[in-house]
Amino acid sequence: MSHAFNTSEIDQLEHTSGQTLYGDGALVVLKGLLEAGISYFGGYPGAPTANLIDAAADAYEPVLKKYGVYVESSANEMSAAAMCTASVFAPVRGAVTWKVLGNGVSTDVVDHVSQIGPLGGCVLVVGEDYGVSSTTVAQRTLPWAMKSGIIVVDPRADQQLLLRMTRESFELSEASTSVVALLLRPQLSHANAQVTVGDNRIGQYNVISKLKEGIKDPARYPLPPNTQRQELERYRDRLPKAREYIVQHGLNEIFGAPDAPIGIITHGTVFNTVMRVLANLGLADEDGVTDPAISVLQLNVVYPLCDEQIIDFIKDKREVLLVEEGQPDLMEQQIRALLHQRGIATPFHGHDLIPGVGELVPGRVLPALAQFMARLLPDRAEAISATANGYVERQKLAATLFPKPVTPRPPTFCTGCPERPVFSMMKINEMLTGQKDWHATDVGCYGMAGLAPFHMADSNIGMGGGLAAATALSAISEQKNVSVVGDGTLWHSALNTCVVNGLYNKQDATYLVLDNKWTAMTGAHENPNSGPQLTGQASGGVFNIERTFKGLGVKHVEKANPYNFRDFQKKLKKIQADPDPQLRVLISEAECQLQRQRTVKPMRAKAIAEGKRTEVERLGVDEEVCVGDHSCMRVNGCPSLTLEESPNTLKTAPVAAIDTTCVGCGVCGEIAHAAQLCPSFHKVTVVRNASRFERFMQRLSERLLPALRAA
Amino acid sequence: MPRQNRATRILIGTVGGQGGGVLSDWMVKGLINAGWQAQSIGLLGLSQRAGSVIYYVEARPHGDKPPILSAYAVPGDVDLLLSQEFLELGRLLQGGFAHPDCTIIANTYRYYGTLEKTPAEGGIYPSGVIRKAAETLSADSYLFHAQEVVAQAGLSLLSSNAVLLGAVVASKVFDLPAEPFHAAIKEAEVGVADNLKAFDLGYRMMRDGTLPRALFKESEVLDWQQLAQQREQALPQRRRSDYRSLLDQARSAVPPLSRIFAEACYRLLDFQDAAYVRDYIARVQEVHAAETAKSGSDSSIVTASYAQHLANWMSYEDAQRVAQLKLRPERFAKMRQDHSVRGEDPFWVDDFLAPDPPQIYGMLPAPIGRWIRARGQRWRADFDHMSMPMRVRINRPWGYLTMSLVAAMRHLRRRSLRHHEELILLRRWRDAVLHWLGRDATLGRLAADAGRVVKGYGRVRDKALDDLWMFIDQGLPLLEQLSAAGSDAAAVGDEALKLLASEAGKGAACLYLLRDRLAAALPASSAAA
Repeated sequence: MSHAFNTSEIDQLEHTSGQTLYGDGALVVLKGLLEAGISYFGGYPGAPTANLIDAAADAYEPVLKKYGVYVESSANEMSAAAMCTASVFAPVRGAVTWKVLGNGVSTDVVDHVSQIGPLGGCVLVVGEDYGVSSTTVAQRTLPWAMKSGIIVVDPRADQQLLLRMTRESFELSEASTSVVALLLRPQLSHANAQVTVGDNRIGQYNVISKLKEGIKDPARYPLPPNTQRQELERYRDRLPKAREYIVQHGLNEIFGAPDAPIGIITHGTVFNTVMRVLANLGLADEDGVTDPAISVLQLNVVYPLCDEQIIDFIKDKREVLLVEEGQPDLMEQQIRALLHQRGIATPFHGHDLIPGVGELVPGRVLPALAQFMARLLPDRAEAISATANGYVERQKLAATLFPKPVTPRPPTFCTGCPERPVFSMMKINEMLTGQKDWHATDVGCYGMAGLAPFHMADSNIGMGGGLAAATALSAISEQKNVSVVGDGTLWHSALNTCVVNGLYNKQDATYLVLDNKWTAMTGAHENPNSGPQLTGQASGGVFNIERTFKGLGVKHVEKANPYNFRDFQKKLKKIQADPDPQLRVLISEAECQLQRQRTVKPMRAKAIAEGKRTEVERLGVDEEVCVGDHSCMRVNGCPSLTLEESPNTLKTAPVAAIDTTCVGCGVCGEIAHAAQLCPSFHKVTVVRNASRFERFMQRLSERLLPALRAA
Repeated sequence: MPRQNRATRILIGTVGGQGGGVLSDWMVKGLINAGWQAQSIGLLGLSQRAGSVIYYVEARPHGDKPPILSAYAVPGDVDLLLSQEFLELGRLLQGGFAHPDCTIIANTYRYYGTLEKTPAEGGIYPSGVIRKAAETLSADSYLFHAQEVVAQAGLSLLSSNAVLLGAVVASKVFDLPAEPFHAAIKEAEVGVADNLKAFDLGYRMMRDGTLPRALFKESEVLDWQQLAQQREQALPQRRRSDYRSLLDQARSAVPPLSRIFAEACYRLLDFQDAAYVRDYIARVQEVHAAETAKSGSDSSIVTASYAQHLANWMSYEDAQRVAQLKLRPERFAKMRQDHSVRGEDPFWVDDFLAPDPPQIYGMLPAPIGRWIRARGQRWRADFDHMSMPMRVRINRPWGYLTMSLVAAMRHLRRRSLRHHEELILLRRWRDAVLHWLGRDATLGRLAADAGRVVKGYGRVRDKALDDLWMFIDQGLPLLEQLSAAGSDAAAVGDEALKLLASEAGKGAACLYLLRDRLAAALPASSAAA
């Protein structure tokens, strides 16, 4: 199936030198990979680089296949990283991608690839995501990469530069026999712009024109006696070569006169924020021209730092400010150590002035930069402070206009989602019995159960570790443990980390497997359960969750359809009542509604247009029967279940209503049943293109039953 | 230094899944087609699932050098605030993004978020606050209901984003020709025909000055005569004269309550009969007499609260009432409209009903009902909480007949067990209102106002009643002490009732709140003493 890109977008990947491409950062990176001549690509989807997986999947048939690129739907980040071994034992280029959390999953393998050193360019496109809209715990790639000797490319937010840096990453990797991590931040990945492209290259060896055999070299084996030598090579030969390449090819940039008295050092997309703040303070324009007193050193490569370049920049300046985002602030520590070693006395500032923890959004950079500049440019201090204060005043005014803060809008399960009813049932059981279980959730859409209205995810501890998170906890607590996992996460790592671990250690827990056939949270990606691979190629195996559990020796396995409330409730109660202290599994099987609708909607429209008999179902709420208590909202939260003014002017509460986005799953009605809420819900089934007999029966019942007569 | 080539900044507030990506894409591609350099960025995170999603666009006419754009908007430095949904405009304004000379173009359509929907009352964010903020922070704002505008033009509701884009392109922020954007809309291949028309509509309205500055979709507030006329029309012919005379009778008793009576007389006449309405009027008069004795002849605040909630309480939703409401011809007419049932399309309606035993034996004459209850409870302790879920296909003969029978039971309602029990509860509430009104007008008003928490079915209603008695028996004495300690009992009482009305079962939380307030008030007053 197509993911996020249409044909005309994908076609641009074949554009040649001088032509343009319009797209997001992911499409630009993929174009860069083609221009670099990669032979393999893989990875695991996750924000903010899930769209790179989408682009590669959508481009496989029309483009990548022709170029002989091997594209893998990696089972997890470790599998993806292991694929990079190709570059270690063959002169081929390749790239893999994952979100920043994938660094940790891949570490063991990446460490080995990095220590031996790739011969062909090897690039990890990491979804760096330190920001406020991030879906991960806060962390930077830099410390992880440094301990493994991985080069870190962190481009500023400019798609044209991103295209160049993607190509340069391979050159840099080959020049230094090192792995390169290219940070694709959301500011780049989710930005749409137009770039001028170059020509694509075909890798020397690939799926079509094959290599005879891999390079056999005992000296490259990453165990003693080779390890110490490889470590020496890495720091004595390889990384210095990287520094050389970075300087020679101008990967870092200087804006403004290099000998200006005031220096600012930036990295990644922080550069854009700094330049904009300078522009707002009247100290730069928007073409990258700075005030004559200021020059900016933008580090597009943050590891290794090029000592001489940095010394040259700092040594004759009046003062220098480093704007580094986040912790640990290893750039600042390295630069301070360097200045100390070389005995350079230039006053150097970093997190003493700039907020040291958290994302550097403009509102946090502006006051700090204004203060720094006002001090160094006394003749313009007044204007700078006035401008900065103007912004602050404006924000204060805005705040006073909202005595009641604007209600937050947390994300929620989609309309008709098969996962919501599972949490509704558990919430209803909790309401009716008062028994509170410990909900150890995992990483997937179902993590949203931790938000309103359910609040039924007590721990959420990293992908594939959900159930394992409750081992000691359930052993030392009287609370029963219910853990939730999705099919995507199960095949990613939970099968081993949780199921094998739980069985082996006789864990007493209920494991709910929400099998919706997709890795849905990342924006619908195929996984082993879906059938085909991401690229549309056939899968080599038939994956069956139930058989897998039984094969592993799980004694109690149940399977139910979450839309069939009564049956599901019965099985849920049964499995929770099982007195045997063991791992019990309930598989909730129903396809992701978002994906289902993508196929069902057009099919239904087509059937109706062709005159085929079609039943269209949608739920409704009787506005007169609804009392406006909103219990239904608190145990459901379907986006299509909304509010309307009560028809009774004496009622103070709005009534529930169902809008036209309802997909007719019937869960709200089932909830009204299960929780004994109210009799307001009803399902309306309309038959399009009905037979004459059916129409006759309808007329007959309308004739017989007075209330039904159409007005 | 002078700022040349300043990029135009557009911040777009959207709700995930509502086409914000398409909207920002149209804009950027259109600008590129128009010879501009443009970039958009969407920060999604998890929010693609109905959470807040902000897009940010920067653009400027082609220069010699590529622009250095910012991925983030700087607060106080945005030229155009565009919002697909009104609460999201509020979010952007609260963030302080508006520039002194900025233009605001916002859809006043509301898409309620989970946190607005979960409280029973008072959850919806007031649009008035957002409107005032927009008009304070910008001299050039266009706030209009885009779905209404496209619907009136006979276009699909999904084209509301295109109408916004048209307004943006024609606004003083860009003032560009339409063609480059037509091309962008065609290229995107999403609902092209309607989106082009909607774009032109927005473009034209902005150009010729007919784009509304403030158009909200609000139901008009009727005065009592209009309301009475509407309600009278809703009654069958034979009951209309009854309605008019009962309404006159009620109005002559307490004239300022005309609007409440216009609704109440209709509801109660529909619920039972004329005698029932007269009983209601007598009950209201009783409280009114007490109030005038306490606070003077022109006061009716307590009576108004009492009359409003009494009418709702007296038209309690028993099985007969539910069946009656579900068999209304208007209900099926509304369904035909809501589900676009065409002419002879067959359709059927399945009602999800989950009565508990009290709702069933409550319909029966009191002695029989009591006998069944006693038997049932001897049979099993949770008898009253047993679940009896059923689906009734109400527009087919069997379901229709069953429901008609249940609805017909309303003629025996006065003798039913449920009615007997409701009368006892009503008396208890009435006594409390009169008692507290005798002591203090404010506390009397709070006792009357507390009646609004009584709602729901089965278990939920039981909880709500517990809440009411907790407030009356324990909360009001605390409020009296608060008042004695010099606190504003009215404000604290209203706050407590707001909490109580937000969800059934909040009684204990409400008492905690009152005890906290009292603890805070006491040392201050004893220090003063």
